[in-house]
Amino acid sequence: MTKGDTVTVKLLGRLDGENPGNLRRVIAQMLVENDRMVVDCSKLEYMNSEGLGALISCLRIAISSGGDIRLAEVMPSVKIMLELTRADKVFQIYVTTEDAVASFNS
Amino acid sequence: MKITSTQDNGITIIRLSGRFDATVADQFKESVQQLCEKGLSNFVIDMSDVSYIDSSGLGSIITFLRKIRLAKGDIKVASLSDKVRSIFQLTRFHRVIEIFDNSESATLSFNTLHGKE
Amino acid sequence: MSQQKMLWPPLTVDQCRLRAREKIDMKALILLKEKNCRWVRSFFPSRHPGMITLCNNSILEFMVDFAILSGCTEIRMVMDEPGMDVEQFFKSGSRWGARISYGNSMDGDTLGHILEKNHAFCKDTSLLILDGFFFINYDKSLDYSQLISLNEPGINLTCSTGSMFYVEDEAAVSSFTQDPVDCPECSISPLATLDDLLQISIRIMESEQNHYVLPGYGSEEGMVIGSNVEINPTARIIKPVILGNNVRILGETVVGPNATIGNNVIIDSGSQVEQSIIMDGSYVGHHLTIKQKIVEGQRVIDPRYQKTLTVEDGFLFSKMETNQSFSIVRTMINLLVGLCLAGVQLIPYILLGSIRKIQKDWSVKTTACFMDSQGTTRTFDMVHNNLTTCTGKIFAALSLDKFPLLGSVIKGKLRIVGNRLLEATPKNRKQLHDFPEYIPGAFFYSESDGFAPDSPEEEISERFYAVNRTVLKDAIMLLKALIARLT
Repeated sequence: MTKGDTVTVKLLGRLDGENPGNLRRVIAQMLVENDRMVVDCSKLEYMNSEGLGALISCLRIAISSGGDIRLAEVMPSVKIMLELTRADKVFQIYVTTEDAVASFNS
Repeated sequence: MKITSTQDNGITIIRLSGRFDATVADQFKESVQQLCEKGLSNFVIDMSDVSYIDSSGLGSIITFLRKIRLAKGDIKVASLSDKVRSIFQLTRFHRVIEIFDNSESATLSFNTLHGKE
Repeated sequence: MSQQKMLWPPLTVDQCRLRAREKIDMKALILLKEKNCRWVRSFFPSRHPGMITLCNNSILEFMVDFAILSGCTEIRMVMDEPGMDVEQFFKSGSRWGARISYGNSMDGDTLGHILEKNHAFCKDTSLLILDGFFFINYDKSLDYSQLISLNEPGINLTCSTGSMFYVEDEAAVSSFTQDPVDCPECSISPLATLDDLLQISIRIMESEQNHYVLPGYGSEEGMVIGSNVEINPTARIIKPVILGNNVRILGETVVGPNATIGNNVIIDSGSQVEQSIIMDGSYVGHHLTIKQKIVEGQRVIDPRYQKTLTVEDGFLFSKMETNQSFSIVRTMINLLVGLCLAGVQLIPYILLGSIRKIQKDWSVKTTACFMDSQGTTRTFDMVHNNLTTCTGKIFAALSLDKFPLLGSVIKGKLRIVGNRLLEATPKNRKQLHDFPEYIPGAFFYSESDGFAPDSPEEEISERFYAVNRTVLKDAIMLLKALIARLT
């Protein structure tokens, strides 16, 4: 789904096991076209450190070309993980996906 | 194991003393069988002199309990030593049978009707 | 705290002197009903709610301290869901200089019922009754023994999760209709949510450390430290902080303000712990920020969301493993017995098995069964044996229906003697959740007792053996089972 120049990606289930590797590949690909991305985490139940690592390396790619990856609708268990690892200082986190998308326009 | 029984106001109080293990489980079953045949249905088992109980002892009490509850009666136990009490707790038996720290209250509790919360 | 309501006329000086001379004995009754503390279990499943610690002191311990401060010499703890950890910690109370005993109640018992059940304890004495799951706000420097006797006929303090009262004797309980009275010297705070636990902890650390007896040494204002604590010189400790025993705080960390660290905890380098509680036996990894959270091993609990995150990355958070007794003897015996039995049974199994296969008399089904009370499963080949036929009876007598399981026994995946293998159904899962000692085996304990499966007798028998397991007892059980089948 593309809204203007901002891409919204929805994550489902658990970000562990083999998923982080796959995620990194897929997002890196998408970032080539659009470096402004919102990740809808409303259905993301769990993220382990590898998953977080994958998201952070994708963030680096986005930032290096002047874009950003912003998170939206983060569930409590994932929020706790982000707070523990200080990743909540690294990502901009929004309550709704719409807000996150809108933030790119301001 | 010594088994004696007395009556108090329609309630039968069974006093056990010694070790309640597999070797005496049959003796217990026989004694209670005789009491049941007399038509008695409310019992208090006073275990103040019971030093130890194992699974056969517990098993025979449960079998007795089931029979009595089917006959609309009940059994309560009283004065458990620490060791016996912890066996009751570990096997979750405390959920099935009411435990008192003295047999007088156990006996009285049959006659008063409390509403449960 | 609101003003004290004077409902009863104060005692005259002579009455006070008389009371002091009489030295009325008082006993304490601590009632922990599951309904008041059930919420705790979902966050801390491995302990009894009364053992949850605030500033490294368990809630029950605060209650015991208060009871003793009030002049009680005997304390009885009555629980409807008893905890072995409670009795193992308090034992007979000699550490506190009081006699502690234990009793049982049933879910739904009223206070009246409980007094009946503990009549031998409660008779002929004044009672301090702590009924519920709450925190008592008191000050150890005040003389509570006098306070209570100066407020005839009793005190009644109430909060949303329980009440505390003092009565002259148990008969007075039923007629105790006094409205709750505020008492400036003590009050009770409810423990209804995680936030209550955290906020009370912080309050104690900030301004009330002197009010309570907290474990550790308080050489400085605002700091309580246990024994064997190592703090790296580059670590920053910001008061108020409470540290337990055997704590390692590594370099570049920031601990505090308002941090309680339990016993046997490592805070690894670069991490920050603020306004949080780290429970006993936790490892906190590098460069983590823990703010307003409760950590127990791998579990990070956030009071804001009432959510527990179980962290699977061991390098972030993990439990400090205590030395587990590894029974090599048991493993060897399992292997040997498994091999022996398999050897003896092999030929009869093949012979009889083929005959029965033709008769279509039995079947082997691969079923998933539970391996422990946490719900881990493994698949086993279970035999469904028709016992009515002659061959069926011989099959069972020679224990050949256990043959397919011996493979797992030899591989070390299953014990030779243990609890009955339960199929992985939700019903069985529910049954197991309060049976932490459950370990399944090829031959099960209640076989030799001959109870019907799923009967209460069988459940109690299984639990009894599970708790009293020894290698010798297992061996005897096995022999009994084998012999019982042959006859």
